Amino acid sequence: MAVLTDKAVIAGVGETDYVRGTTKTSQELAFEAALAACADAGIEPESVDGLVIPGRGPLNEDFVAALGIRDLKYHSHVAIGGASPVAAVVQAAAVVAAGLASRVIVAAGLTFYSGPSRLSAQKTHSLDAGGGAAAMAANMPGARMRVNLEWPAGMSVPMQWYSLHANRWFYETNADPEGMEIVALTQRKHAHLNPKAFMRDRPLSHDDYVKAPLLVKPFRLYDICLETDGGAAVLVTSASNADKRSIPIAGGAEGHADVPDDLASRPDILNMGMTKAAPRAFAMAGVTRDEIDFAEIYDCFTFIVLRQLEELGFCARGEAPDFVKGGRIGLGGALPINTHGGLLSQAHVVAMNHVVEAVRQLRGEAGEAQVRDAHIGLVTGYGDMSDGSVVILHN
Amino acid sequence: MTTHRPLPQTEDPLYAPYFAALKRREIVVQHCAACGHQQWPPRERCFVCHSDQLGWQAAPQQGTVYTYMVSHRAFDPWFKDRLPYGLVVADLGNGIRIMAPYADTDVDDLECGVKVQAFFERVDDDVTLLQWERNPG
Repeated sequence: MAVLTDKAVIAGVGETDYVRGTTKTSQELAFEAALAACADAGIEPESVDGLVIPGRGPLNEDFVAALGIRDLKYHSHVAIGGASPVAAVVQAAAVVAAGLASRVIVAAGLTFYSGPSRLSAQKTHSLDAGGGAAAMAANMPGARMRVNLEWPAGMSVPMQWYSLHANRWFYETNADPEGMEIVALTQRKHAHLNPKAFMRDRPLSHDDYVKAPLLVKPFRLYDICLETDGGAAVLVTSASNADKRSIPIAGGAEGHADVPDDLASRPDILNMGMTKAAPRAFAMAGVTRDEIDFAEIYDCFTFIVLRQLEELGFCARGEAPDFVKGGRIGLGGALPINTHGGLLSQAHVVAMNHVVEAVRQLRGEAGEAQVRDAHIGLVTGYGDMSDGSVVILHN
Repeated sequence: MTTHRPLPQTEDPLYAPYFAALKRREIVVQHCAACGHQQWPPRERCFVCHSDQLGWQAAPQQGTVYTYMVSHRAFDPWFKDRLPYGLVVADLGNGIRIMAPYADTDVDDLECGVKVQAFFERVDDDVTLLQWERNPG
């Protein structure tokens, strides 16, 4: 148990609609979600006094203008890709515990579908034209390595980078490839229960999965997250004035792989940020893995869910495909994961939506997807070249 | 319509000695004059002793596939006519791994542990690129 344990709570959550096609900017989506989180918590947006902003924007000044903030006491940006929102929630808890601010917004808006970085567009953008992969790389570390070594070799997007990790994992551990399909199909079933899920009405069968095109070995289409538009946010406040709907933050951590900007050079590619972050987070929260009732696991790829289950310590390396068999990760199983559908089947809001879903579960507001007797939930983030983050919440 | 091939910024001061060496059909990596540590990719400081006295040393031209990529989709138009194509992260020993395209067009048997050797692709007078090809030996 650490200094920040139960000193801060998530008092409000907010989401926009999750769509493909929007005229709103990512910044506008972040503001909409932030205002919804304030309304959910029943506070005036003007009284927000802290901002921990995942990614490289919006700027704090833009948030001040949109929310009418009168006295901003703290702000920071957390730029570790998809690991940013969960790391930002942990930082917000630390800021509140330290007394630097008492009402901290963490808000993310993404236009993966309508913005310039869309990879599923009909037209393939050339790297020197700035769209597609190049637009995505603008937010990545290691720019000179990308341009000088990777782009000339035809490596420029996440599904290509992550395949380096996946192919080595299969080689070293003989992991069962079927585990990826179990993750994809389980999460799609969960999405059918979530009113906001983009794939709410789109079933995914075994045949659909295996007949989908192989894009980059070993990833077929349904192993890869959605491109959607949307925003999500939480309000982190002091536990001293929490109400019954507030969800205490027990602990959390971020972690960075060795050689964090280059997958190729790290001594062991299976060691990732989560390998370092997970033990710290469990120790800080004072809980064991057996006590986790459900988990919202960052799922840019099905295989990354499996790898995180291993590095979180739920099973040994190479054993996650066996761990997920027999319904264990589905609703009603011992460890339901991504109960909202996740990035694979709800929307790609870089796991800000995973935090929102965890809060809903712990409030008992998850509707048809409610996990029975949910008391302790875990949320992870995964970003850039294997940065990891994790937060543990309880009711 | 011709498509533009993505080429490295060979004048980038951090990478220029590497690309100059490829034109001589050599692979060079950073070498710390202060402590002798070799490192790749190139950085501003030695990872071990943090010195900025970094020179360059020849690296082996044979290695083993540590990991690899096989892409069936192009995310730059230049690669569309080359699908599927491979990329190899070759382990050269001494902590050095260098990523480069897989020279062979048959990617089905590309796997970790395969032995590879350097193939120098002369693009034009200014640019030579490294590829890894299967080592028949």
